[in-house]
Amino acid sequence: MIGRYFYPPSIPEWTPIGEDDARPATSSPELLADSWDVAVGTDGAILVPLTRGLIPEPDLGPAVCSATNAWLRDKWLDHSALRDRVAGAVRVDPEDADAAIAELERVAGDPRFVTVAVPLQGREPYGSRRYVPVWRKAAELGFAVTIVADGGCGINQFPTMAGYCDHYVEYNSLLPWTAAMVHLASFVGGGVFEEVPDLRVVFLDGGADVVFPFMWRMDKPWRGVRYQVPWIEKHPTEYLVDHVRFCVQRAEGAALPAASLTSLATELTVYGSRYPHWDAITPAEARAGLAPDAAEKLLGGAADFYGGRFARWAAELPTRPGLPVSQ
Amino acid sequence: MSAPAGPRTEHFDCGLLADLEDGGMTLVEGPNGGIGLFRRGDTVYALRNWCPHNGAPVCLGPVTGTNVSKGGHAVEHVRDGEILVCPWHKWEFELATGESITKPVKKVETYPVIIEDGRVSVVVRRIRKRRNADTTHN
Repeated sequence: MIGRYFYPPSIPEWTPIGEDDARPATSSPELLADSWDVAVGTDGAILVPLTRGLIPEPDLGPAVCSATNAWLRDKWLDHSALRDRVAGAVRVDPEDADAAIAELERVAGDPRFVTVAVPLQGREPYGSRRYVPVWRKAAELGFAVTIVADGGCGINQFPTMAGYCDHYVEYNSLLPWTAAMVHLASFVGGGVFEEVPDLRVVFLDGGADVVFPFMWRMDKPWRGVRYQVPWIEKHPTEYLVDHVRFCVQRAEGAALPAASLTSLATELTVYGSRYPHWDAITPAEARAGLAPDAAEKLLGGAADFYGGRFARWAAELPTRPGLPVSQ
Repeated sequence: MSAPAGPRTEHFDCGLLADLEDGGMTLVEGPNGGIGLFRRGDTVYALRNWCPHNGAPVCLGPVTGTNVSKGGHAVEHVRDGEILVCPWHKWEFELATGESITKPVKKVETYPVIIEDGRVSVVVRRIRKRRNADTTHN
């Protein structure tokens, strides 16, 4: 029961294969391959393995990440049914910068690892100085940093200045975009985008609908507090287009999430399905309501932003025939 | 520097140099509003008491230095005594010129100062109709 606290009992957390088959659709490579054209519907996908929570035990976190990466490679990236279409996110525990850097160097030779994934849940905002060596190494090796909500076990910090939420509907509405904004403010406030100019950050769980009103609030005082943060060289909002993207999200409320965004916010979106999560979004749903060139940019723009290893992998990706929407 | 009164300007007498607080700020009520007089020995800087950001009484702020980035998070405090910091939103201005460090296109208005025979006067624009003079704003 405790493990189900944050999820309404009537909704399974993961999309099942079908009405008669309750197995989560990504519970095996074969199932994923079988359901790919309908449920995933893209030429390729990054598999982001979860490590299920902010793990406080210092040795356990990095060990879980290493094991997860090895398992992902052995069981999924190497699988004959998926080899032609999947890449992987390498998990690191940012709490141990040395271990994280070692893990990145260990997998750097494998071009199928195309992005670094860290949990949205953190001990501190990710612009804090002790995390910067991890981001610097990631950028140096050509990895964009994907920040993904990853809970279920481990610990959670106090989510708000007013404490915890009582009900799932409150939790799901408030988090994770608030955590994303905390990390984003920290990257800007700590001068991380100045210190690591090649750093690119993707928030897998959305936030494009709130980022500009939030960052305008940060624009307002920054001139006056320049003497405290002289390493911020320009308006906070000016860092966004070069360094930050958000995946479009059904969780962001509108039935047509991308179409509900302002054109300004749409600049900061990339497609990311979060499949097989229960509020995953297909390419067709993501592009609904967008003009054709905006839709093209949404679905195909990830490679341009991620650059580095992802772009190299994406460039080699064969086009899958017969998909309703092609990447 | 000397600037004789012309058709557009007038000299406003600010009293004796000796009466101005040396190292501090003396506020006077000029014909166009408040003027902060900052005496530093035999030099006086005259700044309009109106911040170009949001109209704060900028001359009431502290005079300090400023912080510059030395790369990464290394910061150095420089120019002590040269920077006027607005009390409302902390915008920084060079005392001697009114130029802003915070947003260089903005500037606190300054006035030429004339010191003759121990008396201080500032050169202000003569405004025929003083409709913009906000004398409540000291």
